Order: sequence, then structure tokens, then C-alpha cells
Amino acid sequence: MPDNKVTILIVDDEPAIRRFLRNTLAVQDYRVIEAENAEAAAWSVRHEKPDLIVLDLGLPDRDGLELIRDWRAALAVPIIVLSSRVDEKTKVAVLDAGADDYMSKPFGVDELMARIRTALRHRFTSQGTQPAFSTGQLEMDLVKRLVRVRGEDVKLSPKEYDILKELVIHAGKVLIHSHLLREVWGGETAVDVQYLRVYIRQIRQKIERDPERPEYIVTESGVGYRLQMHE
Amino acid sequence: MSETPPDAKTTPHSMTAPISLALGAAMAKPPKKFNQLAVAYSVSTLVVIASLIAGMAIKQWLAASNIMLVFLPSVLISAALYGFRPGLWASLLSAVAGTYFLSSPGDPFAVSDPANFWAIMIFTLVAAFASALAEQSRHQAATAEANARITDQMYAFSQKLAGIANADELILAALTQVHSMLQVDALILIPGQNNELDIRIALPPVDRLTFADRNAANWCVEHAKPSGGDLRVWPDATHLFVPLRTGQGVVGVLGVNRGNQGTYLTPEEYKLLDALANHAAVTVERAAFGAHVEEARLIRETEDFRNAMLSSLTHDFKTPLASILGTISSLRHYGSRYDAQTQDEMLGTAQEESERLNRYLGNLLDITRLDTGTLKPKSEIIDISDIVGAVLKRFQGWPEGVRIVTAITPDLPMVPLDFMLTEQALFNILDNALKYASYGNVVIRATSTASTCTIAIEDTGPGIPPEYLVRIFDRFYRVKSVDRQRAGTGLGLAVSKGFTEAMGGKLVASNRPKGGAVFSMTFPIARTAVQPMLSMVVNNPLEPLPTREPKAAASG
Repeated sequence: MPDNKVTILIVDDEPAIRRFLRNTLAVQDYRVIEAENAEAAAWSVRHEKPDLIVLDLGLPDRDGLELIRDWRAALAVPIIVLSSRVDEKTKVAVLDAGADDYMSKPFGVDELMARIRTALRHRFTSQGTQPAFSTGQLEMDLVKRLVRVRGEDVKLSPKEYDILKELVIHAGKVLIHSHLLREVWGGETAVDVQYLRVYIRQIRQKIERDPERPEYIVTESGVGYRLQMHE
Repeated sequence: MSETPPDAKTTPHSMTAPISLALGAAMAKPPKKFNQLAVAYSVSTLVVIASLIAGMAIKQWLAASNIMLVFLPSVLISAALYGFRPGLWASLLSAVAGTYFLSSPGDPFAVSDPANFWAIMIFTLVAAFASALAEQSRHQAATAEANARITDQMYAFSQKLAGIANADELILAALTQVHSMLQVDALILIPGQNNELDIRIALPPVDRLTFADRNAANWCVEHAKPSGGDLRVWPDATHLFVPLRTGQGVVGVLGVNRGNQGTYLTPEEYKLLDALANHAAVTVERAAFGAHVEEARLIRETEDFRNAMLSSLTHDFKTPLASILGTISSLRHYGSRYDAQTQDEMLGTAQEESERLNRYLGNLLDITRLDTGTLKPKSEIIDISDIVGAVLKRFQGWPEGVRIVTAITPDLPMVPLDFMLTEQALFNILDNALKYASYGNVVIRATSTASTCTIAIEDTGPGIPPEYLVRIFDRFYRVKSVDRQRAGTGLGLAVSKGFTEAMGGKLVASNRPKGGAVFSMTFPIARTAVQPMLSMVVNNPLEPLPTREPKAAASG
């Protein structure tokens, strides 16, 4: 790399979208490279080693979903998907394939920048599992198995703790229902999303100030949950 | 219908008359013509005369009492060829001729020997009986032949039905078969709303049934038995009705009518009618089933269209909006960090994308106008190069690295068109060409023949896969999945085609042999139009117009 700047690859076939993303990222001191199709994107990933990829699903030569699957096998680079496809099925497929985040077009750049920062931070921190985690007034000690909110200890059942731990490890990232069920309940069959909803509700009652307007565990409709990072 | 017909107790004429009954009856045979009769009797007479001559020739070798045997072949031949009566005529003639041999030499027609008299009598009886037998086997052969013909026709008929998919055509085919095989007027009634019988199809067309016919038809459906005609059930009815029965029950009624002669069918015809009714029943059932399938297909297609429309609308609206919202939010958050040039570039993006959104909305409104039929094209005499100029002006400042070149034939005739619609149609085609032809030239070529004028837009893009050449004009249709193409491409060509056709023209897509697509709009030239032969040459062919120089593209 020529300098220490974080490199972001923008993959989108719409020139107008590339233009504002390029400008927005450039003023925040990111190095920006662009690709207008899957072929150019694959080349850039191989030769320019981006730190993060912003990917549009509808590319003229290949579907973005296939690219995610290709890259996931070999790369640990965070991928944020931007798409005008709004159905939950696509969102789940994209996240399941290994994308870190999904944003529907149109979107405000402040939201995208926050997601980019989260994904990058996660990339740099997840390389060694951090023993302690905190965001806002939520603290978690993964070694001592302690959870504190607003300075007070919170008693969580083992399942509740496992769910929160999984969210914390992937803080800022959307975890789809099936991912949480797989990680927390393991091979147990016939565990329903309803279970998860019940546990999430219990955790929220213990850690959220107002469970109806959660600050930490936010719902991604029809897709999953995300631990919201507070800066 | 609860009313009882006058004579409901009587079982109607059996529809499956036994074969012997059929044989006894005259095979719906037309009365023999005089000519045929003359031939039959003449030939029979000649055969007997031939026998007579032969008998005279061999008389010396035969015993007198055996001479009658000479005549037996002639009788059998006549009966076998022409039936019982000519056979009988031959036997009588033979008997008379025989007397000539058996009479005493002096008196040619007086048979004196009683043995000879008895020989002639017995010969006549045997000959008459043989004639009857020959007649019967002749009749059997004819029946078998008729049956074979009917079987053939029925087979051809069922083959024909198998090839028809349309419900109306199916039922019509069944009815036509009844009409032609039985020589009757025929109609099919099917229970409609409230189980009232409706005339589904009639040959020749019939609007309504008489009161008696309607009652007879209703009775037929209700009891699943024939009525009307020459049956004793509803004898006032002009038609004979037979039920159309399938595994599902009675699906309708087949009515036949011989017009003024009254509907009397021979047992053979009843059999045929029964067979035809079976076919018609299956047909009606199949038609009803086909209608369901067709309905389901329509619903599915409408659904597909709606899905395509929704995803297209989503993509086409959201993509420019994403650029606009992204640009504006970026300027709002980080505006102070941008230099003047970047700020200008970003505002330019927001403007272009808003214009794109506006064009897309325009197309959507145009499609709606086409669909609702509120579009009324004007017919003004228009100079094609004028329209091309107007379109090129709209592409001024188009940020694409493509050159638009015009090649307009000198002396191009004026064409009666709607200026605005033609311009929009041309604009959309050009817009599409520019989206795909990301390098090279796009050529607008205008040519004419004696009766037509063609504007062709040729690009140097990847061309159109042959299987999509027609579908490319479907609204919301894209060659690839919705968001894999530039936004706003799903309607433009549909609008162009709709407008072109509304003005009486044609728009077709094809591929150029050297690569790239060509869209040709062809309009008829009105004969009466004033054709000013002024110089129409606005530009030299293939030389770029000043306005179409590509502006340096801001993007990469």
C-alpha cells in the first residue's frame, strides 16, 4: 500500500452513485477505488487488497451475491451491500453468504459512514477475541462472564448470555436469525425463531432502558438482530 | 323444471338399437333414380338373353330337364349386382325363356310335359329365393361399408378435436361434425347461470328456442334421456335433444333438427347421433377444463407482469433517488470539506439524476396514456430532420463518451406525424442506444422508399440476443434481471413502440451483421401529402452535428 490510508472498493454500475460515494469517502481520508462490474471488482480485490468493499448486487455481468460467496471463501474483508432489492429473502441470502451489512437504496451517507466505521472496527478487533467489550453504557467481560448496564450488574440466564455474547462478538453487524439459532442452540433441531424472540425480549427487559425503544439490541425486520454501537 | 311432459311414461326410442333392427330398416337410402333402375333391368335382361344364347349352343349336350340350370347364373348375377327386384325380374324372364326349350316343337310356348312344368316352377322359386339371399348379403356389405365410413369419420373427427386448444373452436368442431354427418341443423345448450340452459353454439345460428324446445331440452338435462323430435316426450319440440353425458353427469344438451320435414331419424342415425353426442360431451367437458386452464394462465401472466412492474418501479425510482439522497446528505454532512469543483460536480449529479427520474416518470405517464387510450396523435406534415435536430438538442451535454452521427437522405419526403410523439419515441430509442453503446458511434439514419420513410438508430453496443428481439419492447422487460441494467430502461422502448404504432408506424429491433443493434421506425408516407422537393439536406451524411460532440465525461 502506498500509504496507511484505509482502502475502500466501491462496486456499482451506476456512475452517479460511484461519484458521490467516491467524494464522500475521499473527504474522510479513505483511499477509494472503483469498479463498474464484477470482473473489474474481482481484479481490484486481487490486486489492490481493499480493506472494505461496498457492493451493489445488480451488476451487469454477474450477480453481487455470487461475488460475496466467492470472496467469503478466501477473504476476511468486510462487505457492505447496497441494493434496491428490498425483499427479506435477498437480505437474508446476502447476510448468510457472509456480507457484513446490508443497506437498502436510497440511504443517507451518514448512516453508511457509521456502518463502514463499525465494519472496519470490527475487522480490526475481531482478529483476537477481546476479553472486554463496551459500548454506550453496556459493558461485557467475556472472561468473567459479567454484564453491566449503567454501572449495575445484570443477571442473565446461560442462553441469554450466549445470545448477547454472540451479538457482542459481531457488534454492529446484522446477525440473521438462523445464524443466532445455529451458534446458540447448536445442533439442536426444531428450534424456532419464536424462541429467539422470547429470549431477545427477556434480554431487552434486563439491559434496555426502554425495551420498546431498544438502544443496544435492534431488530432488523424479518432478517435478524444487531448490537448497535454507540460512539 | 317440474312440469311433466304429456307422455313421459313412455320410454323414448332406444338409443342403442340392436344391429338386426338396423339391418331390417332401409339404410337411410335415397330412392333409386330412374337411370339406375333402367340400367339394372337392362343388364339383367341382357344377362338372361346371353344365357338363352348359351343354352341354345349347348342344348344338344344337356338333358331337357336340366336346361333351366343354364339360367341360374344369370339370376344370381342380377340379384348380386342390383338386388332382389332385378333378380326376380331375371328369374321370371328365365322362366319364360325356359319354356322355349321345354315346349313341344310345334308350339313354342306350350309346355306339355308336367315334369318340365314343375322344373320351371321350382327354378323360379329357387331363383327368387337366391335373389333374396343375394340381396341380403349385398345389404350387409353396404352396411359394413357404411359402418367403416362412419368409423373413419369418427376417428378423423376425434383426431381433429385432439388438435384444437380453443374452447369455442372445440365445440364448433363437434357441432360441425354432427351437422355434416347427419345432415341436420344442430345446437349445443349448456347450463349457465341459475342452471338455465344457454345456447352455446348453433349451426346455423339460432337466437332462441321455442317454448316446447326449451321444455324438451330441460327435460332432457333433468332426466338424462333424449326428448323431442319424433319421440313421445315433448313431441311438439322441433328439435330432437340428446343429453351430453360424461363422468361428471350431464354437461349439456345436443339438439338436432331436420327443418320442415320434422326430425325423424332412422335407428342407424340414432346410433350415430349417440356416438356423436358422446364425443360432443367429452368436448364440452374439455372446453370447460380448457377455459379453467386459460384463466389460470392469464392470472399467472398478470401476476408475472405485476411482479416485473413492481421490481422495475422499485429499481427505476430508487436508483436515481439513491444518488440524489446520497449526494445531498453528503453535501449536508461534509459540504464544508469539499472544494468548489467537487461541490459543483456533486450538485450536477443530483441535478442529472433528478432529470433522469423526471424522464422516467414521463415514460410512466406516457405508458398510462397509451393504456388508457387517451393518446390522440396529431397528423402534421413533418420534416424528419427537424425531429432529429430537436432530439439531438435534448442530448446536449449528455455525459457519455459516445458520438451521435446523423445520416439523413437528401430529398427525404415530409411525413404526416405527431411531432412530440415522434420526438419522444426517437429520444427513448437513442437513450437506450447510448446506455448500451458505451463506445463508438450511434448513427441516426433516415431513408425513404416510394411509400415509406424509415428512421434507423444503429449502435455499436453488444447487440440484442435473437430471442429477445421482440420481447425487448415489452414494458418493464429487460434482457437481464431488473437491477443488473441501468435504471430507467424498462419503459422507454415500450413507449417508443406504443407511440410509433399509434401513428401508424412500425418499430422493430434487429442486429447488424457487424455487431450492435439497430432500431428501425418505419412510417407510411401519405400519398396526398405535399412533398416539397426543397433541399432537405441539413447535414452531410456521417458528419457530426455541432451539438452532438460528446462532452468530456465527468465520470470514469
